[in-house]
Amino acid sequence: MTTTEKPPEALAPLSLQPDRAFTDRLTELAGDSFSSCYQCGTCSVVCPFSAQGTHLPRQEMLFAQWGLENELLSSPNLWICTTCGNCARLCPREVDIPGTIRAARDLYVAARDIPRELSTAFESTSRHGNPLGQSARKRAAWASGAGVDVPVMAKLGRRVEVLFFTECYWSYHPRGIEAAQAMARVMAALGTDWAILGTEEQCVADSQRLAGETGLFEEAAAHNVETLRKYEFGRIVTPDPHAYNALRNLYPHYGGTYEVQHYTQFLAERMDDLELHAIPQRSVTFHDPCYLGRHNGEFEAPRRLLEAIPGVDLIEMGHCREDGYCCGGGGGGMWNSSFVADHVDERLAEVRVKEAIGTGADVLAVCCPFEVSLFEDALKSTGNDGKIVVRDIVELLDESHGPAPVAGGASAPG
Amino acid sequence: MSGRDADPLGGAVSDGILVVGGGIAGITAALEAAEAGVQVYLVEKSAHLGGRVAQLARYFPKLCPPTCGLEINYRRLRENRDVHVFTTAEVEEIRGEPGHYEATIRRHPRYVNDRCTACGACSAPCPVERPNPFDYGMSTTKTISLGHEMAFPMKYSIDASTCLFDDCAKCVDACPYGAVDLHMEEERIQLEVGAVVVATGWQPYDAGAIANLAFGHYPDVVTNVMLERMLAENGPTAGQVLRPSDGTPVRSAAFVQCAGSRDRLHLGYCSSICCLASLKEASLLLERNPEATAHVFFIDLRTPGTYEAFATKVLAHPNVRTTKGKVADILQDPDSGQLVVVADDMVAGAMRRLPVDLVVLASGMEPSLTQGRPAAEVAYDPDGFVAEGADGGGIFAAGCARAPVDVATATLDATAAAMRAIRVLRQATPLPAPTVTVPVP
Repeated sequence: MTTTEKPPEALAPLSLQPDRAFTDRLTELAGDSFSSCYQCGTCSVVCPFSAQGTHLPRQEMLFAQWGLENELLSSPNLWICTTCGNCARLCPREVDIPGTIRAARDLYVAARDIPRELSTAFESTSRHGNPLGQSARKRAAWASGAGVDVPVMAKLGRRVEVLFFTECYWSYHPRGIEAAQAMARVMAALGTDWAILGTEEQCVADSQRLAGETGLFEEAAAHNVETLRKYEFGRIVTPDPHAYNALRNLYPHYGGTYEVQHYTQFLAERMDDLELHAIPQRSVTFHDPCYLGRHNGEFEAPRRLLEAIPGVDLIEMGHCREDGYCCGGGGGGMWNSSFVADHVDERLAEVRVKEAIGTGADVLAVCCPFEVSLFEDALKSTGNDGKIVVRDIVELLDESHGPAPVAGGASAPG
Repeated sequence: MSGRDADPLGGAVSDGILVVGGGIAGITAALEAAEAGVQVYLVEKSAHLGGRVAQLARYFPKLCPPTCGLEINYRRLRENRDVHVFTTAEVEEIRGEPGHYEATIRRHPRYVNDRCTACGACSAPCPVERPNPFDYGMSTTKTISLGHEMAFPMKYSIDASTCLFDDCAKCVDACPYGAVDLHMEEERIQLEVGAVVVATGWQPYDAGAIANLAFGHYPDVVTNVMLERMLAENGPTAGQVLRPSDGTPVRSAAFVQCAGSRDRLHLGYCSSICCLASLKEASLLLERNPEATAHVFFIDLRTPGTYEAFATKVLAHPNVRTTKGKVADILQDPDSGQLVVVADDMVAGAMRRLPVDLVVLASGMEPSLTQGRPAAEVAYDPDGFVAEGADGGGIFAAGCARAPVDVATATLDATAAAMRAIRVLRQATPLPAPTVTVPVP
């Protein structure tokens, strides 16, 4: 009758000597909400890693409560967590679980060697202003291939309505660049008064912050706030939910208060101004980004964009909206895949693409720059390449707003 | 009284007590006060007294049916001329001060008068089937119905939200006593009383609001009050425990404790009775389906005081299994269609996935006065329970209006509230001082 995931591992004897000094340090960074945890296990059941027997983050909350510094900081779970926030959504004690994990990482980063891939991403962010290790001077190179003019603030020398904060993956990643160029064409079609910061832009580094590098985040925030102070603009629009999260919720603490929108929110208000045609892909499923949906409450805007495309049928996955399933990229997960793979059987993106394929949809639509590459890799690693096409929503819109396709002429890239 | 609703009193009444709510606490408070010689006005929102207790299959810990306590109380009510019962009535407003309150009662039309003998002739031709609230929608009744066979008063009533009235009127023709009156009107009744007992009780917390527990999504996820009706001989399955999805006997059930309770996102408090209720329901399940297994998933098993002995007895049954770990996800096995509950087992240190036939959510108790509060100087605590004494001490709460409690506590609570209400009356209209004769030596 009963099935258990794995035989319980032999419990190593623990020295249960609560270290109050350690809990005090955690509390200073994250508040003391973890002290109200009553170990019900809701978090570890609804964690996307639940099926893999990690007991994440129930175990970590217990270690935090007891001040078990070594157990908490040595737990591989500390680096597996993506801060997706599904645990915090349902925690009956309202514990700030992602915040507590982040605080523990902060303490770890200050004292110990972090997983290698992650340290490489941190170093690149520090040195080049992006975690991909690309040249800061080439940050706006993507714009030349857009086929439309992409204005740059420094050259424009006037106020614009929309300052577009491109962020790193749309600036450098090949699949991100395609989405950025599609965005530029949609902006042009809308006649938007917009511009980018170009080479003056630097990584917002919110995921680095969540991975424990608060210092890096603060340096980046100081730089970006300083840069933004030079210009006049109506609002900031960004394609990256993590940047959106930081610009909206954290930058006010660093001297920068702006009207910030995710690109899906900006476009959703303007869908009537865009002439859209049917595209070859008929059925689409949509993956909610954790930092747009669960963390910032926006579930409708991306769906409105998809529903605006004539003939597109949106098929929801079982895990959607508040219950969305993390792609694995947040909280530093984007740069930690080898470490995660060493400790779990299946990556989150691999679980998620199978769920997407299960809907029978032609397209897995996304609107977070991490997701395209994670899902495309996961389709390959699970032997499902070609079973579903991963496209950013803006790519679908770009395809849809162009001239009406000639019969047989248009085809889905994939 | 002879089980009839009180007539409008047509004038001021003083030196009485108003009891709001006709469940076990309200009935008890009314009887205790009346038997001590006080006029009592008992106001009940629905068409019959008995409240949630009438819907139970059994009480814990003795496992006797609710007819036990209720029938004795109904007899006491019938024999007592000092309890004036108003059903289908709500208290709109209470004004005044201890010793002198004016209450406005709004009595909705029952559409059935006192000539009703509960013969049932009206119900047969009625064309409207509606979900039966007494069975939490698991059965249907005609829109003119008796509620249940233990109804008090033993009189039919019409559900105005579903009745076709003059477009149909078949019940009017069918009644041999002329008891159905589709043109009955709403009444407003003014009462003057010295004290008030609020015994408005509880309602099950909306299980659908607990997103991860899939209530409303899978038919085989039910609430504890629904299972209580299934276990009741007068319930929708006549006491059999069957899977709602296909009607087959339940061979395994998972009891999901703290479904909403002790949860700051839902009910911040412990509902206090759910652990015992689940243990009771588990033992009743095993009584009906001896081959079945009952799995109780909990954070802590809370069985206070002498109830510990009941818990020990139930837990000793080999087919009652416990897991320390809250069920936080409910999935469906794609092959068997069976539900799978998922919990992190604190003791085994392993994620547990258990396939079961039925999932029972121990959804907690929410005060009924979360909505529809009367205009009155009544204070509420942050959880919505009545906080006493806000008006200086003439309005008392009893039973689940005051706190989530079990039946036994509710009746004790009601007796205490009646006592305190009587004291207010006596202080407002002091009895003549007794004459004491001191014998002179």
